[in-house]
Amino acid sequence: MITGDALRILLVEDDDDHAEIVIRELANNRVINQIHRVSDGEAALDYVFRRGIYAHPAGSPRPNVILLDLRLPRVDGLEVLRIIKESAELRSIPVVVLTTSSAERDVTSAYDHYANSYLVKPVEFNKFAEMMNTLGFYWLAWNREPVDEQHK
Amino acid sequence: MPVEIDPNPIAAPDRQFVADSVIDITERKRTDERFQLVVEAAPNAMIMVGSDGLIILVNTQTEKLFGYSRQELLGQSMDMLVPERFRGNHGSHRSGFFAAPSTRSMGAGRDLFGLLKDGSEVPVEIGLNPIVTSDGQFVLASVINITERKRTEARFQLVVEAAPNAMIMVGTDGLITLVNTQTEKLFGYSRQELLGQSMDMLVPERFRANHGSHRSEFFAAPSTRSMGAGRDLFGLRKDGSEVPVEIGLNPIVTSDGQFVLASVIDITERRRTEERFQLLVEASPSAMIMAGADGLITLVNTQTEILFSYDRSELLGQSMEMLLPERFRSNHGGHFRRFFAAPAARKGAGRELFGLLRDGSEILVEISLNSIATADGQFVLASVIDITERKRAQAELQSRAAEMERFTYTVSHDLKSPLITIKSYVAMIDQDLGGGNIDRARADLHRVAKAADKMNQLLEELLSLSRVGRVVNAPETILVGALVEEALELVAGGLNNGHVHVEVAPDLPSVTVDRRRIVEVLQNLIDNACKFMGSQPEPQIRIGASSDGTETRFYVKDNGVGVEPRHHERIFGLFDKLDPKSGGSGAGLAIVKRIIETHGGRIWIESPGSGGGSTFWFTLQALQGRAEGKQ
Repeated sequence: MITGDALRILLVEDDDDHAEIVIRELANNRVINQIHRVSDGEAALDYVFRRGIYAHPAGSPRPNVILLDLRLPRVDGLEVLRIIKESAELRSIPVVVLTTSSAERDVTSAYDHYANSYLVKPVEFNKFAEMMNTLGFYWLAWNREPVDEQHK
Repeated sequence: MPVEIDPNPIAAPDRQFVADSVIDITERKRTDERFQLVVEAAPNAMIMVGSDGLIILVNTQTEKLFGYSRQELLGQSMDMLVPERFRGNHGSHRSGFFAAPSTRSMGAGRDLFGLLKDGSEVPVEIGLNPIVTSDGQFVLASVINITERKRTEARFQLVVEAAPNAMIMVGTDGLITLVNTQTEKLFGYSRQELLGQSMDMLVPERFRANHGSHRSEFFAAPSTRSMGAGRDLFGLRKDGSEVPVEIGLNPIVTSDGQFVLASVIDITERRRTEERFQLLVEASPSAMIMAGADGLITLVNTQTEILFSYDRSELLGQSMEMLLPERFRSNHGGHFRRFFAAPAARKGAGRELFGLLRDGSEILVEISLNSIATADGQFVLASVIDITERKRAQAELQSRAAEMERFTYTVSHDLKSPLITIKSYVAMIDQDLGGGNIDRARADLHRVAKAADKMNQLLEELLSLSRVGRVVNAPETILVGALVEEALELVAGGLNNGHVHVEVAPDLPSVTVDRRRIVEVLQNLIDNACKFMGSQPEPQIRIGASSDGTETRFYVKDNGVGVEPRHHERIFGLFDKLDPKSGGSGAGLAIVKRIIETHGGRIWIESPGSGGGSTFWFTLQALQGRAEGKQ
């Protein structure tokens, strides 16, 4: 069931330590992936819209999934989500919100802005590791993307 | 020719003669006739009686009054016209009159009656005129039937008696001529004790001195009016106690002269009610203002004086609108009239109302209106509550609640982050130590330590934030220049390292503030400016103030990286950092904002964005409380 394609993930995370946990655990669980990490909202938008340092398509392959933190410097996570989902070109990319906030307000606004999933970072490391394992496996092995979009 | 012949016998020796003296009485006859004509023409009954009590002359009015014909009367004793019960004394009275004849009225105060032919009696008034003729002394009695007058008098007395108030009639001499039962009840005197006495006996001694002149003034220009005109009047009872009264005066002119009929009302009960009402109004915790339909203030309480800073005497009799800001006055008249057209208790529904204080400042008020109907007409009683403080507290509560929510959110997010880091890396270090990956474990230990430090810093700043507004230092009046200097000393290290040039405007004003907190504000703002200088080759900070007449705005201006307009609000949020690489936790500006707000001021940023530098502006309001003058 596991295809040979790697899972391309755009990780939008301002906390270096958290980014490292995500990267390590996805690798640990042998989910074949390419993770590109940006540390603020502006860089995330530059990446998906191929602007600035991401202007060359080779340096910014379209991600299969975006892991998005909410509280981000420069441009807020919700704002990034809103812009992506308003873009006809980008809105089919699944956006998984990955945040420390379990505030109801955040969950609601994330889904209001068409987030595809909302995950709260577990404080317990075992759970965090398991979440990353499941997440990688799910998006790599089980999830199917629209064919047309893949060729864009 | 009418003559009077007087024969005189003359005795002579030889014979007797009669010498007749003949007197021409033509003139005397004429006088007699004229007199009889006058008597006949008189409108009253006229009776002439001799000293022997016999009637010698009557006129037609006498016949009419008594029912006798002239023939039946002439030559008869006067006593036939006097009721039997008075006859005994009548003779001696007549003798008394003839002994010292003078024109006067008969009876002197006693009621006189005439006896008619049919045996009935009629009240009369009799005037007596002595007449001396050659035939001797006579009395001419003029008899007036006063039945009608008596009836009117009796009716008047009945009316007076039936009046629900004490009624007292007094002559120009100040003597009481009439009272009713109510007067007896009110003052505790019997009628006999009052009649003929001076009115002054019913006036407390302290008022007597002026009472006479007041009475003279009244009689000089008599008119129906109330006595005292606004002054408190009291009556003096027989037992020496006083009773508050209201007195109405009515002039009465009778044939006996001028009188005043005073109507006296006991207002003890009304007074008591009024006093109770005033006490109630006075005791009210809100300002109470009573006004009539004319909009003039008739009553205020101490709270009103305190709230509006006016003295009672400055408010009474003035238009209520003096307590209303000018811009509302034009509409107020209409509202006022509508209230009186359909008076009902009501509140200023939902609208924010304003009161105008003596010093021209305005306050937010809540006003309840109550309609009061009194004997003097309709009044409105307005209860005014200053809700400035309540509104402010409400706003503060709302802002605090919002802040609390943000705070909880931030804490849950920002404190959880390092916690996740710590727990995850500790677990991974554990694995690495087992697997012999010592290098990575050592690097991860560093992450754990850093996360713990971050948590510590966050906690410190949360505590510091919570202290603002909770821990309050006594306000000091101090020059802003001195505060800036103090702050500059605290950030000297950062300024030197960044080679930042600081320029402070001279003559900054003095403020009354929590000194330590405002130094903290300046320190944070200067520190912030240093941190965000970016690649500016000539970093500069300018501190100063500008005033637009109503408020003084202070500023801290830098020529650093600036803040994009869309972040102008966000930077004051808790732990909202725009640049993750910058130092600090992001609580600095949140603390600054909180301090400024506890000083009743505002803070905002002006910046065009990247590279344009930033100007932080803030205002301050003098803190309430005793300022310690330190400069």
